[in-house]
Amino acid sequence: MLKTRQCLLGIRTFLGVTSRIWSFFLYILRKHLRTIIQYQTVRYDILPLSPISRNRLNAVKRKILVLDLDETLIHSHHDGVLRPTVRPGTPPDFILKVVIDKHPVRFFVHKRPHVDFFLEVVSQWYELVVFTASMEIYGSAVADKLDNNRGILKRRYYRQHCTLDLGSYIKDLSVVHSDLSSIVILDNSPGAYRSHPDNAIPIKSWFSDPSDTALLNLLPMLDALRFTSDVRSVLSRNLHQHRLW
Amino acid sequence: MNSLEQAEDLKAFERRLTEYVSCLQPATGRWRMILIVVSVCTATGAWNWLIDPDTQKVSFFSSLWNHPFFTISCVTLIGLFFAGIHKRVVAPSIIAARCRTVLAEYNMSCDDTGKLILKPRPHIQ
Repeated sequence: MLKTRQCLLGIRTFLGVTSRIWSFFLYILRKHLRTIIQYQTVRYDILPLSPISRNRLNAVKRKILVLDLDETLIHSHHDGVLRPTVRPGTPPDFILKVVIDKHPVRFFVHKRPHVDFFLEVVSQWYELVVFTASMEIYGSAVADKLDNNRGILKRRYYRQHCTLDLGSYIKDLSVVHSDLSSIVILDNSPGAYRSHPDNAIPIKSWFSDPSDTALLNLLPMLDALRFTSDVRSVLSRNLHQHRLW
Repeated sequence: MNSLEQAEDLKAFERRLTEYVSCLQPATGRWRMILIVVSVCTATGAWNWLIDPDTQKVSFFSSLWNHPFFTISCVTLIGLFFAGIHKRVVAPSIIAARCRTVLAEYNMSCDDTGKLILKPRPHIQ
């Protein structure tokens, strides 16, 4: 009788310890999952240009790439949100403390997979410009973090530079650059580039998927696009399947 | 923007795609060689390990210790898979597939060498 009880107790302790080890293992795995996935994926190494392509690149103008922040490069939620869109337990990449209307707000920011690599590569091809529909105080803090003292995201435009139309913010590209043949906008919301559909590259909104490769997918296309004399030659073929208006 | 200019732009666009994919080939070939060599080493090592009569007598770890060739090649193979060699050996087609996902938005596609395929504009119903 005593032996059975001891045996049961032993099994219970064993199970308890095993489940704890297992949950610890899962926690570590979740924490490192993104690193493992990122390391495994084929990235986009910079490969040399052929002489024809080099000549072509010298003959055309350097292009401007306008980037959106929220749901394109990052996803964030603040501490007041009841139902966060990310899975609970996923640690944020950085936390921003911003004062909005005299209230301190903490933003938990998650970077889209491969965003640092993406910025590093495209900054060699394009002049990067941040254009976000969010407030300057928040947008500039996020851009600073993404820039990480590399000096690649110097030009920034915020909510005050957008035009408000029927309750949605429209990004007017002519504010950034007058020549529309050499400007491209990457945005998850089609409403933002409503006035310049032929300069747009749509991208799926990102919230939490750690295996997302949308930024990597764009690299071959962005690499090739810098050889055009007018980006609209390619981008105007857009079918606008994401059209919302 | 006239159509001649547009054709010129599309050509330059395509040139870079094909150029990039062909630049990837040598590295991919090297990765394939590495994968084949390590796989063959592991297979021969495993064969020697299995046919050794001592393997069944001694413990698992000491049998591995007795066959360092198998152990090392097996660990290397596992390491290579963790480093994503199974994706590196098909890198050109991964890049081409990525191009296709983005180009579909622009009513285009490309083959595995990066050559553009322009599709006719669908009629609006």
